[in-house]
Amino acid sequence: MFFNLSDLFAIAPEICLLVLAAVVLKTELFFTRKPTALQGITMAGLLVTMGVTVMTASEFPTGAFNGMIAADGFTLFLKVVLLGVALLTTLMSREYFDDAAFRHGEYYALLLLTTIGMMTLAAATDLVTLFLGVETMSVGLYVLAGLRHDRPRSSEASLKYLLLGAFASGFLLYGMALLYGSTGGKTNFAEIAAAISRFGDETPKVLLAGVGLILIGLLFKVAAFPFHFWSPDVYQGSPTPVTAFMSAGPKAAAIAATIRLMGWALPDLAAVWGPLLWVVAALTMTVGNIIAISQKDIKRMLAYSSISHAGYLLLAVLAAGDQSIRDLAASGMLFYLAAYYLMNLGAFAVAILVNRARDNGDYHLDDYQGMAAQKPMYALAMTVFMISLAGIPPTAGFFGKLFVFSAAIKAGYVWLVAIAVLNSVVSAFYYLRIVVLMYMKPQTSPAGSMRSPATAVLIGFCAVAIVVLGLIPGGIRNLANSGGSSVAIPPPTVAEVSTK
Amino acid sequence: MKPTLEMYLILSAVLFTIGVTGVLTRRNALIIFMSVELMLNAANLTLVAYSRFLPDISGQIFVFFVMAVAAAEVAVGLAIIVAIFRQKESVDIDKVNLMKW
Repeated sequence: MFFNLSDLFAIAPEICLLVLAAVVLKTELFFTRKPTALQGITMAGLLVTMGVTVMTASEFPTGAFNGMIAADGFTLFLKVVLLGVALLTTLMSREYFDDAAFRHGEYYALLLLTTIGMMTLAAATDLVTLFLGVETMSVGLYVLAGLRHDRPRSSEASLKYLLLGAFASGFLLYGMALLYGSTGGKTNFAEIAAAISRFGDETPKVLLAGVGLILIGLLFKVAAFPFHFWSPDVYQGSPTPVTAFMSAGPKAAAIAATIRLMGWALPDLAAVWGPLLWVVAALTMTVGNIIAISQKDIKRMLAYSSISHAGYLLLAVLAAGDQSIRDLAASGMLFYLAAYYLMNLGAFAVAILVNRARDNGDYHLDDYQGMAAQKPMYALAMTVFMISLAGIPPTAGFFGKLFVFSAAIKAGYVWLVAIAVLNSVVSAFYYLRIVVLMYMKPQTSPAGSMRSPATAVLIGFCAVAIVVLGLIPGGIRNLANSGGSSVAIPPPTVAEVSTK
Repeated sequence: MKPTLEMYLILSAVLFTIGVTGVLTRRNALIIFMSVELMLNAANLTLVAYSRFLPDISGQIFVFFVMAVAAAEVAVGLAIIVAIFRQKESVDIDKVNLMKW
């Protein structure tokens, strides 16, 4: 046997989500098409899955399925974060899609299936599971992006995402094939690391080419420069809850897979990929921030802002190339991701409400003029999100940046951190511009009602969580630390069967 | 002449390059999609060739997974292209240009 029945506990959360997705689909088909019921089932199921994730976690410190996936604290933290992303996205979805004649069941099912892909990606310790995770996630996202097929922009986003995403998958897979061959037939991360350390200084060129191609594929998924061109168009065209989901979940999963692959499977090649990623990280944050300044549409602005956040996160990947720092880098990244999804989902939720009140179809920044006078609580929450995205204390975003940057400084990337801090200052300009619009400009045209209990709960939760994390980051920081120091790449436990 | 590993690798590299060139130069969404499939199959060929010559069976198992994933991607991809065609009566990607910068 290559796996025990008990290995199934390691993927219990994924199994739960799969069952839940089936239940939601069948419920819509046979029982009720009431959006509230479907949303309720999805949210209850996600909460149960979260409980299952936490309960089954401690049992498998060494991975499962013969080294195909890890079940370490790092994976656990990410799974909870990813389930949180799905939960909050569900919470903001119903009212958005109520405006359209829309099948809610298939939307929630796709959301859940995509989450399975993201969780697999976060746990992957083998090239096969890595590829499966990337593709399960991406195929679901292609459909989600195009869900509003009555709107040309949604279909366009979907087509662009599909063609460029599949193109990137081709690079990823070809890189994996070269890596597989040049390490003598290894797909497991631990075995790849061992094979590479045996090469010493004479690393084959084919292997380096393979690593480069894999990096292209993964950097595309995190939307890093110069592979970011898809993301503003896809973010703008997709239905807004999907955009919120995309900007938080897949980015987190892909960057987690990158840090595990680079820091734990390929640390011996850090001298090769390090300088490459240095340039990519510096350009990603700079380009993202500079283009964000000139945006007039809040979804596009947040898209470019998320590109620049990918740049900050790449600092953690770089720092993980240093074996003595990598635990710290991983834990900093976990905290950053936990903070990032709260502030990003919150900002998108406010964008949905403002757009609903205007009912003119676009997401122009001028819609925020004078919002503080009419909706003081929402304006306050939006201010919290913007301050946190800019990385100003006392918010979670500040500590996220602090932990990632301090890990990078310890690893010796002082100049890059200087660039990152400068970028944060630049980014404050366009984030705070929204605050200025809300508080200091008179209202241009009266807005409609922004009543929406579910979304209001979400916005309140995110804002409070960000401030609490910003004032007392200790608890989550400890969890992130234990997650970061537990990153594992389990080797195969069963002896290889000889094919000779 | 007996085919060697190098021959297979060169063949797959050529196929991969044809695929990349196709994606970058063609303007028809279907042809681009076909070119992407060519890239995936070039990678499959590499995997199978290594698997045969190393020898190590896991490369061939990997290819099964890739084929399953590629089939799913094609199903979704063609559906998306059909949705675009219904709106624009064309699958020319130069006409898919509502959003820029």
